[in-house]
Amino acid sequence: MKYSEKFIHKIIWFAGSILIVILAGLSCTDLTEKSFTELRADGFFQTDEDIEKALVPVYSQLRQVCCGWQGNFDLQEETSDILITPTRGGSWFDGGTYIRLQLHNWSANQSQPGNLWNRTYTGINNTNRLLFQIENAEFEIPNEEILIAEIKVARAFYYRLLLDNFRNVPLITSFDVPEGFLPEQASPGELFDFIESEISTNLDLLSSNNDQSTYGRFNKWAALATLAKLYLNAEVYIGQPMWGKVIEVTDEIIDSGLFALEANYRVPFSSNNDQSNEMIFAIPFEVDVAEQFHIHMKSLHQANQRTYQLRSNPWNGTGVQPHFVDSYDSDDQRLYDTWLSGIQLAANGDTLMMSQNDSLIGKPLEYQNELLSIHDTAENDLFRIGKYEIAPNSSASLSTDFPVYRYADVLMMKAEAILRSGGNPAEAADLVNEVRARAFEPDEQVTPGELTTAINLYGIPVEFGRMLQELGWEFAAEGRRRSDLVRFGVYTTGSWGVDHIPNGDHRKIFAIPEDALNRNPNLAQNPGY
Amino acid sequence: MKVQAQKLMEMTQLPLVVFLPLLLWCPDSFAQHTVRGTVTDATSNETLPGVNILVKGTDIGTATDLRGSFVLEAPDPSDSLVVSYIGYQTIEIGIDGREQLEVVMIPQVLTGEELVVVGYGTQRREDITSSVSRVTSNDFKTGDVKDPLQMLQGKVAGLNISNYSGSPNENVQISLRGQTTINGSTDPLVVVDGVPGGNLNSIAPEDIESIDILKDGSAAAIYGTRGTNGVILITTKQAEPGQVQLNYKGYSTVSTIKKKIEVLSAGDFRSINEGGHPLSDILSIQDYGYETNWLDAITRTPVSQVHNVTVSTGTQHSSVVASGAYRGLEGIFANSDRQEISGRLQYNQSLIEDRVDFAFNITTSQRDWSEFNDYAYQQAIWRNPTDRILDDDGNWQERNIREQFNPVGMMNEINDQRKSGNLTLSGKLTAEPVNGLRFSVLASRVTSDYIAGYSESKQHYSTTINGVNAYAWRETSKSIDQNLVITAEYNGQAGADHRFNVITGYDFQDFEDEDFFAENLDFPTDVFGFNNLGIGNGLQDGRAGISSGKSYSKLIAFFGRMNYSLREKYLLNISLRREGSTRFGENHKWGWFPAISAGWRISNEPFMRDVDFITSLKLRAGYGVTGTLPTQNNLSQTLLEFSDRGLINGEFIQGVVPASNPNPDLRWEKKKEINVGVDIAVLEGKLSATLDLFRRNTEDLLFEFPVPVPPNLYPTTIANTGSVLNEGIELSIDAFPVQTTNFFWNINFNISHLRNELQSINTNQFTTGQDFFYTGDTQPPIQNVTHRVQVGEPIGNFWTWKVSDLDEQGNWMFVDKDGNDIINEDDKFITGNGIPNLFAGFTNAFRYKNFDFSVTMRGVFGHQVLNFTRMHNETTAGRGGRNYPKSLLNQPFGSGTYIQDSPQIIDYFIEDGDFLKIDNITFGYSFPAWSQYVRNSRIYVSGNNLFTFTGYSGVDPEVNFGGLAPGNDNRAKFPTTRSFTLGIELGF
Repeated sequence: MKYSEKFIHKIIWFAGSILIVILAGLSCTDLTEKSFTELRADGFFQTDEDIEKALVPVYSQLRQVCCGWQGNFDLQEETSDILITPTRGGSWFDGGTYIRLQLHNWSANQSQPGNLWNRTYTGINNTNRLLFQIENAEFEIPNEEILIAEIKVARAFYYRLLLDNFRNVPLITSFDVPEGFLPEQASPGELFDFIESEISTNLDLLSSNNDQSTYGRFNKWAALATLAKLYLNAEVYIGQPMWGKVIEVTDEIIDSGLFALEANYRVPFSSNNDQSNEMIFAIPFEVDVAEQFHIHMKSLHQANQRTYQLRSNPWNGTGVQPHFVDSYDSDDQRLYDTWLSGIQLAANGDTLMMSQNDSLIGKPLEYQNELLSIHDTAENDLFRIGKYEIAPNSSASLSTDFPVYRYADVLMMKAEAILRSGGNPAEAADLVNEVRARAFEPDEQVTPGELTTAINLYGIPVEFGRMLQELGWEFAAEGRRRSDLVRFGVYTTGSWGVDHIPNGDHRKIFAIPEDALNRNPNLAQNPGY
Repeated sequence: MKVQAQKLMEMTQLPLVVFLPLLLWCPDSFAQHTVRGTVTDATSNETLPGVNILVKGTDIGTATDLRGSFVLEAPDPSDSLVVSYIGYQTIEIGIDGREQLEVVMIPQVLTGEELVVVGYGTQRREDITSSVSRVTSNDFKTGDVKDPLQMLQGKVAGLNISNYSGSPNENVQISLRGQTTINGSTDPLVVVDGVPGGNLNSIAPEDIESIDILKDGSAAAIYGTRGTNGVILITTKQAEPGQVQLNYKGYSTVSTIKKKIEVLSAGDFRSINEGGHPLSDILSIQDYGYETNWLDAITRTPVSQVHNVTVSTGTQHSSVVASGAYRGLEGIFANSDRQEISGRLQYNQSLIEDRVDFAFNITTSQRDWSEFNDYAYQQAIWRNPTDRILDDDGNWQERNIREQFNPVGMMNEINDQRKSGNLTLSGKLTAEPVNGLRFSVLASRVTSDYIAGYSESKQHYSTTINGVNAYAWRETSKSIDQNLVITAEYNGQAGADHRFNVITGYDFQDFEDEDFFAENLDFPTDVFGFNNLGIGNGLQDGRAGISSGKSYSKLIAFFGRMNYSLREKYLLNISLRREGSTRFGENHKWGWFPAISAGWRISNEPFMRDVDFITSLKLRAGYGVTGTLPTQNNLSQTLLEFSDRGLINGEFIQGVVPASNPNPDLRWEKKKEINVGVDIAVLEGKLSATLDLFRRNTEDLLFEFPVPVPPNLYPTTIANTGSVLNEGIELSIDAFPVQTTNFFWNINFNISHLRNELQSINTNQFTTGQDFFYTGDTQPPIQNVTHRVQVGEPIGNFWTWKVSDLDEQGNWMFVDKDGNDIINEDDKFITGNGIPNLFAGFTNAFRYKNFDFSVTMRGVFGHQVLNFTRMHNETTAGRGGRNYPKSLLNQPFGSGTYIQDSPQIIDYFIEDGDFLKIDNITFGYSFPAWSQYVRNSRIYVSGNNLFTFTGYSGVDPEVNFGGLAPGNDNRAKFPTTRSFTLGIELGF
């Protein structure tokens, strides 16, 4: 009996202890999570001060889209007849990515289309989210209608890039989608109509000013230029030419009188090009503040660090294909304003030396217009991109804003539309000559006949081939050549340079990235891939 | 009153009591025979105090004193003495007329009585039903040890410890029973004297008494969300009652680089240019006219020293241990140093007739160290050997060649100084109000401080070439972990048949981390280094940055466990933990972690009584569920962050963008493990073995899941998806082939085999169209991935192109997998795996009289290593004046040409990594008692990482085996070393 009493005693003690343990525990079971360096989504967009912060990503994303590493710039230029990034010794092989672009060998795994897809949709998502936030805001938003119009036009701009590069993409216009929603692809026609109507219906709500308040944003003129690009490529996109509308829209921009060609071709590419009258829409860049424009790093030789007092060695990659350099009229000032050639000097006048190929080390660095092969070429082969001003002490990014639509482009779009719609070739020649004028001293004009005659380019006859050449000389390395080559029917038929031969007509558009297909089973691959 | 007074007497006059037998015996009878002697431990040669010595067949006896000595009057010179001590085999020695006896006692093996540390308590070894390994200080690896866990290298089956870096500041890498996770933590939970999450760096390895490893799920489940990677329980040295002891341990170590990467010398360069060298036809090299061995220029012969003093004292009711240690470690590169002072004070006090125990512990370590910039090592490997260190003006000779900088200049113009401190305070109050019932509260706080400074002077290439005009940064952080554990435990017995132990408790832990970083550049002077950041211009110019952060997380758990033993034959162990974490999503804040295991002590069955050669035999089986926490906070939330700037109205303002997708279902990775084992001891424990088979399935793997944008905000969501399987077998054998007083031989052999397979990365909610993803990085200029993680395959597969030959131009001929004449990403193969599947350890320890000798060998097999140094450097293409490895002279596939192709990730650079190392040899001598004040003294020499048998051509085949890109032998990896140690141990 005594034993069991003691035993019960223990049990009571034990039970009591458990109780204490549980009570101690109950006092702290709160597992709410705290964040100290990020915002909880529900705590943001409460006042109109948050609107600008929320608007920023709509535009800042454009820097990634235009110029981010292995993205759109590569797709438009490295797949074309102008730029090339050959392997130099061991460098720039990079798993063969640049070789595949130039030789049109890419698969759905190629990084650049995938990057363009992701970056563009991130931008679209930013617009959809902001539209949702504005619609549901519980405070008064100043100029709400104008803001909504601007965001919708920005979204249309992103969609035109997708239409141009992939053609068959999902069209998502709202943020508030049901859980588990996976979009399906829209037809090119649906996309085209969407872009056209979004811009047209919002056009008059947009600011028609062209000043600091609209710089780098979608005002009426940037919207019109986007529309002009859409119409210019309508035949490519939906098989329906719209040359008349191109002329109509470009005329509206020209008639505004707000824009003019710079007398000097270099001004729209200077580090102060935000001041240029030629700029209709640009993506602003600023060293240390708004970066990612690496074109000088990708192109220049390491030794050029001392030419421009750069903060680090450039990477000695991309140059211009020799046949394209040879296509210039030697009097064309743009040849010298666009490309760096010859002996390279340091800022203090020292001759720069080569350093990569063992047989060239210690010899003066002189860019030469030669290319052995995309698979291997010397460290000083190819002229380099010198179009964009490299301000002293630049980082790996430039302070030059990236021009998306220049006034010269508007004039050239109109000229092309006149030619293609059977308008007066002389009128077209006048427009082209207006653009050419600043490049020649004395003036060397193109004739209406030269513009209308089909010429042989890259082994095939090209209608309005001279116009394509004119576009190349004026807009080289501005991230758009692919689109021009497609419109002139050359992209998938011409054989240019040392290595490029056609590799299938389906390559006018890129494969839907495999990664996107994997994430969304509703997507179908583009034909031919 | 009288009783109490007597107790008091006992307490205060304890030393007297111990010496009393000595005083009572006096040699007054010629018929008697006086025997003097000392008793020592056979394995450690340390003297043993308190050993019972009895003249056989009489009640005449004594005990050894503090120095292990005894004096005894035996009735007859032909009598025998019976010497016995807990934990040792009782021995009988004939006096044989001798007056001086040296008695050596052999530890008893597998008595079953010894205690093993398990979660929140201890258990007798014989009651263990799960897979638990214990290593005590006698078996620790000696010599050059930078991290406590390094002492276990090669000692425990299934616990694989890779010391892949020669840096004195980098800890060893641990993996237990395979890669169980993709994105979760792979670190085992370390529990120091009951405090979970204890900091390994704060304990001096010499202060550790034993390390217990909970390997399987049924043992680790009591630690819930942190148990998956195993639990390592560290017990520090405690005072022994009744003794005052002072121990000194010290050693000095000299190291050399394990293996130098062989590159061409200045002489080779010249003979290439002069013609006649095999490479003359394809290379012409810049000869600057000097001669420098760049690797020698940045390395040294490092000398390290370690000193540790421990004092302990205790009575029956209280004890104190105080220790202090100094470690001054040098790496093989100048500027890779570590100086550390650590201290520990532990105080135990029993009160109220030993019903209440109070334990207080304070442990701290203060470390000053500097990190070597491993880019300088990379530069030294490829720097032109005909160049010089200083130019004519005494400046660092730079050449303005891309990515090539003077490594000696780099090393000298960088000032890198870091200081860190750890402080652990813990207190434990245990009350036993009635016998068998214990109630305890453990509270602890572990703080870690860190402050670092780094500067590059105006002579560093960042200024001389890149025009930065001096650069500096400072960084500081502090983290605080607080822990409260409350437990109630009951040990009971019902009759002779039922023995049980029940424990229940509450565990709260929170973690707070704060950090700050600032950098600056463009300094008017570099004399201040990083000490006066404010005077630089970089911050105001927007060319330098400041950052700071803070995070906080919490873990709360309730747990219980019951051990039950029926008739000492049938064992049952059940535990359950309910744990919650702030890191989990809203819908899954709390999880259950159950475990059950059972054992059958067959040797206690009646039918085994007659099987004499089997000392003990136990079958056991267990099942347990453990978890792995997400490695970061806030992964389940929708968060926005300030990000890129955009131009709005002429001003670049900061935008707000999504930083993550919400996932309210985010939870722990769940590992379910079955473990079956046998423990057997035969021939009175002279041979014992433990065999374990396990199968662990981790479900709900945390995976950064690619999701479509839109509709999602952010392109990836951290979700629980997929599963990975690890299964294996572990065998551990201990043998004592010879156990005599003069010669003692102990063998430990362990081997483990492991198989790993990723079983899925999809769930119903999250599906990708592909069942693989890529990881690992070759680094520029190759710019490619190294590994592919694929469902149905083991983690760690290399993913590379295959080459079949070199063409005449020295370009690779690739295997065209899909036969379409284009070599692209579709032509890659699985060309090896970086995770070893067989690990073995083999230790032989001998003692002959006062000499001791031990050899530990370690083998790791079944894996491949990607040799980055060869992959990047073994070609003539695009070297830009860099030096070449001598291996360039190998002509692949007997092609008769040298590699002249761009560096690429191909199977040619993947080598078998199998190795067998003679990892440690120690030779020691224990001096016979030479002073009444010195209890024991020993001197030893030992060598670490001595010999490696391998086909691998790189520095050391022991590379990083962890993570998702294992087996990458990075070209800038801090080379491992071979080290030689001279050590002294003194006990007073």
